[in-house]
Amino acid sequence: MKKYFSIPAIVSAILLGLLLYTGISKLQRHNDFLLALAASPLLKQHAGWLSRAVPVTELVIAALLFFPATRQKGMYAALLLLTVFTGYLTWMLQQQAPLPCSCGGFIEALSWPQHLLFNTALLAVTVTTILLNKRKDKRKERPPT
Amino acid sequence: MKRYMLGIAAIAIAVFSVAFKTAVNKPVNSFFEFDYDSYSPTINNVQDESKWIQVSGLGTCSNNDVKACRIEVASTYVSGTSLLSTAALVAQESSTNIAYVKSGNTVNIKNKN
Repeated sequence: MKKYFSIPAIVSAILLGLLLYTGISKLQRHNDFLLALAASPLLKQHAGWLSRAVPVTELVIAALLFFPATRQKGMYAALLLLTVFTGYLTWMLQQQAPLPCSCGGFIEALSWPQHLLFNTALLAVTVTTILLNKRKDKRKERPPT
Repeated sequence: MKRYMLGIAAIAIAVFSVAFKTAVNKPVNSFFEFDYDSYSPTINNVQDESKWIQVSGLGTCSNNDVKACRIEVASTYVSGTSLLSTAALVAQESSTNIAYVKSGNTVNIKNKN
């Protein structure tokens, strides 16, 4: 059977769609996002610049994931961003405070534990994809015997 | 072109989803909390709309009429992130120098202990 799309291509398309969706959502509802950050005891000092930097970073990573030449860099950047988000989520869960989430789009509808599970699954898929890409690159580099 | 196909599909889905969600969930009301960090909850302060700060929701006020906590108002009573004086908040004292919101041009009033 002919293989139309590779797993890394599918995963990067999912990440691209997700980051674009959440990035645009945050920019469209910038005031809500700013207020949610301002309500966080950890981030309230930096709410102003973070409310712009987070969605812009998401859109830049989405752009990196779109072009095949920069896709692997985009995967690493997405991995870093997801790790930061997951770390923040874990911290929020430990606080056990009813803090608002303005994570963008449908993700806002998730409870904190569901949100953490969703992020962890995405992290695992991203790591697996990066490793698959690395293995593919190594095979290409290997001289023919 | 095939290398871009999935990316283009992802962009299309993301953009359509955002457009659809915005149309459905456009926010109408705004929420404000009495600024306890800067002011004490006296009648005069609670009735002063400039002493309220915008927040993202009604939060977890205990709903007991002792101290002012949060209010929900229609967008017509908001300018930028400020509550307009047309919200016409009326406060009542629960004990000496502690007041709660009794009425006003609000959609929802949540006081606390």
